[in-house]
Amino acid sequence: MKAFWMTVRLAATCGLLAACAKNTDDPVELRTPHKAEFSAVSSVLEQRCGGLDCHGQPARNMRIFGVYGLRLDGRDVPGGRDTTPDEVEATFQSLVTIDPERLSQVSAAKGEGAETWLPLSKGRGREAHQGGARLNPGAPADQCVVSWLADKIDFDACAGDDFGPKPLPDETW
Amino acid sequence: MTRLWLVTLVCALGCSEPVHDRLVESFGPEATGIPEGPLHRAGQPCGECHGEFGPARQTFSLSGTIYQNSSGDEPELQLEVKVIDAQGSQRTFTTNEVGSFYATPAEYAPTFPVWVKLVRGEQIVEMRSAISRQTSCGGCHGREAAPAKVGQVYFEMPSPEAPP
Repeated sequence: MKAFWMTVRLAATCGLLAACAKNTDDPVELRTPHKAEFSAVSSVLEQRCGGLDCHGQPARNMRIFGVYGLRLDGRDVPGGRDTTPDEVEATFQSLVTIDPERLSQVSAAKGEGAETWLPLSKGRGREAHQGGARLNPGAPADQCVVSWLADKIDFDACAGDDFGPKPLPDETW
Repeated sequence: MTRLWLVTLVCALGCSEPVHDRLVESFGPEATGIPEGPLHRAGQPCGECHGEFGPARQTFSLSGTIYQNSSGDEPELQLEVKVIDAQGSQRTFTTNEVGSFYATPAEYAPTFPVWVKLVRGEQIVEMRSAISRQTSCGGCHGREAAPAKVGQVYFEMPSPEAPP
């Protein structure tokens, strides 16, 4: 009788392992665009997406750190000193953990299919995004992100992002 | 009919927002002597109660309280709060007797992001970042600044004895 139950347990264990193994995909090695060039992208994201009422919140999966929102160092406050290198690094780390499999594919394909990567897809407003469209395809901010994904960062596009109030013709701000 | 009652009951039970309810509870009771209305709860995030989950009946599309300085003790009265939204639409609000201003969606329904500046005569204080979706200043600003919280919104006038 003891041997019977041993056999049942063994079979159950094997069955469980087999079931788990069947559901496990091969791990994908995370491949990301260059980190060294990310600070230019971070500057764009900080302004457009990193406010305290959006991705500058600790509760977000995609957290953007910097002067306009969430600070990394507990002694810093929003609106205080400029974004630090550590904050750029933290934003990078957060960003590349969003939809990492797709990011790896896009990065390996030198930016091809960039629009399918979740942060860009949401940022363009192509899928549900509480903040709506914050990156217009082809506009400098969008170009900045897309070029970074392609490992050919367009620094001019990043620097040329003009995010700010745009008064109507004949009006001033 | 029974089904309608069941739907109503399920909605009544399921439509509460516990996180929001706890937040509202944390604001505490009304201050003694200040009835509900434009002068109550200055400095608190108006939009939390005056938002989609209530409990206030009137929703606000934009609201807040402005103080004279960073200590957040004295309100800045009759100050112009100018806003411009993503469509370029501009509006000006004026702070009341407790430094607060507010707009209902019927009065102003901005397309976010919104930029804001405080104006008194020639003096202008402009907020560096955009408001992405928050409808009340107090949602991001508070008495104590922290890594994820800005201090009170204030409009500090230059001291008369300060050198030019």
